[in-house]
Amino acid sequence: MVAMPSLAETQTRFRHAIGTDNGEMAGTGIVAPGNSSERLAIYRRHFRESFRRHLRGRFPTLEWLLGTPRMIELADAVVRTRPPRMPSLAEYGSELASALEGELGKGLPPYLSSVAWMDWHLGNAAVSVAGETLAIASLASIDPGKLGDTVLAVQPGAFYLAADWPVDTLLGLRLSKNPPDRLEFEPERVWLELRGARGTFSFTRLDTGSFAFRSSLQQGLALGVAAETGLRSDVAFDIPAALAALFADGLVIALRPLPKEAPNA
Amino acid sequence: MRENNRPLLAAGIGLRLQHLETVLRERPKAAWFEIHPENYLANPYAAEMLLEIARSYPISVHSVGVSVGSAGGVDQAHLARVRALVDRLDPIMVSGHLAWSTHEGDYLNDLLPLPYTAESLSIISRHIDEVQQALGRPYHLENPSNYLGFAQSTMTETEFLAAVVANTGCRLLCDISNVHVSAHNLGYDAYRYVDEFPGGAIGEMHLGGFEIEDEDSGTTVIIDTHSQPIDGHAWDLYAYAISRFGMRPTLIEWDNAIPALDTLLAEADKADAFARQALSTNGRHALVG
Repeated sequence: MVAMPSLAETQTRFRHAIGTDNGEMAGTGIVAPGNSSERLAIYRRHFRESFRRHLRGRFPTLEWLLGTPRMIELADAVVRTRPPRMPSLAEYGSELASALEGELGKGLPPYLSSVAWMDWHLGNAAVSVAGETLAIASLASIDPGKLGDTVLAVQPGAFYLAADWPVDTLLGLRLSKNPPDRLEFEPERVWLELRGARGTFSFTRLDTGSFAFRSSLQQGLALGVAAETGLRSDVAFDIPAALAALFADGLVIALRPLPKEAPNA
Repeated sequence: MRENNRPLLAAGIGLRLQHLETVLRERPKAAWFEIHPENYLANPYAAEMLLEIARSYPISVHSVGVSVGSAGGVDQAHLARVRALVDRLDPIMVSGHLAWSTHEGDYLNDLLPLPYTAESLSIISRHIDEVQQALGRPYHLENPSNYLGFAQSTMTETEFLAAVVANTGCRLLCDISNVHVSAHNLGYDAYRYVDEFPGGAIGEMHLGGFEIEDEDSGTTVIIDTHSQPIDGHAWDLYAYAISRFGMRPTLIEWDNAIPALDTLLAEADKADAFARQALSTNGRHALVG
């Protein structure tokens, strides 16, 4: 008499079988009226195709550049090496952008990881909900001595991406009705602000100081630190003008005191 | 344990992201909607629209990610996120599948089959207890669509479902199309399955479209694609189930190649017509709820 596998063993073998090309289920007792391997292949197919569909949907510019067959190869490789860890599928995809920075990016054009991050951030931006914006006059409510320690919360749909290639040009071409047949694409450092809310998105180039300033605020750093970061990036960085532009662009949604550091932090 | 008991006298439809804006704009004459919570957990815009819709329509929450069949346990972090959405929506029902979809933390994005054994029963009963405790509501467990079975199963699916109900006090979601799909794929009688289904525990029914594929072995397999109108075999089986169990809240599922909202609403009207016809033919009164 052969001992039947436990549920945990059965599921481990099943997971392996659907996640690999020729995984079988020997010894797990799967049965079907026809060929049980064919039936197992249905689950394998669904597993692959659902993730391919999801990742293709999240990286439209990347697929436009790579072509669908290469995009599918990439998606399969990412699912194999960095599978999703949460049932909310919308949160799965940054793994692909990260993977392009490493092993999976070898032999591919060097700008693809930046393209992938751009796609990823724009997707997240488009499903965000914009908060009510504050006017610059709201700063008047803060003790001037504490202004530098104030955190300016920015819109949740604002993301910042620095890239060594002008990837926003590629996005613009993809979205245009008549993209050219050929494009001379040369390295150029760009600092991008990617924004969106409620189904829409936009992208803008920033100067290096504004990028450093805004991305620092987006990371939750205090106004004083963000301003210093801007100055370090560009000695000509104009803090009052940058602050005015930040509010004028509708980016600030809350003012908060800097959280006290945890003991021993 | 809390239960929202608003009666549902007409069939509802699955509400997918594509239709949220249309529903808000046009306020269609839909009896109720069912949503997958996993589509809203990382989509604040969709969640905002859903909460607005929930002010005007009854909502049912149907999870595809609470994996009660996973030997490794239920993802507590995910369950807490579902609970948070449930608390905000106050849905008429919460449901999920007799299946597993996670393994050692990996999410497999499918509803995978289980052997029906004493061990599986113990594990799933424990997990449903956890889920019901976390949600503070009864959980409706759905019979799966299967393409294969397990030699080690010692119970039929209906015996297994009845035992889970007895162990946990959960309720059942009888997916009529899944009954037809699994019966065809595994070679048993769909009508007998309905006869043996623990009808007293049914809180909801589902109907969804499917596709038939030829197999190399000369057989055919039905794939539960939710991409088609409801097939005639499923309508007939639905009428039979209604005649046996009485009226139950019924949902039209359509998840791929999603058509215009009007098409879904027409399918819901069709379900109502089949149910009325089945009840009048059988001379039974509607048993709502």
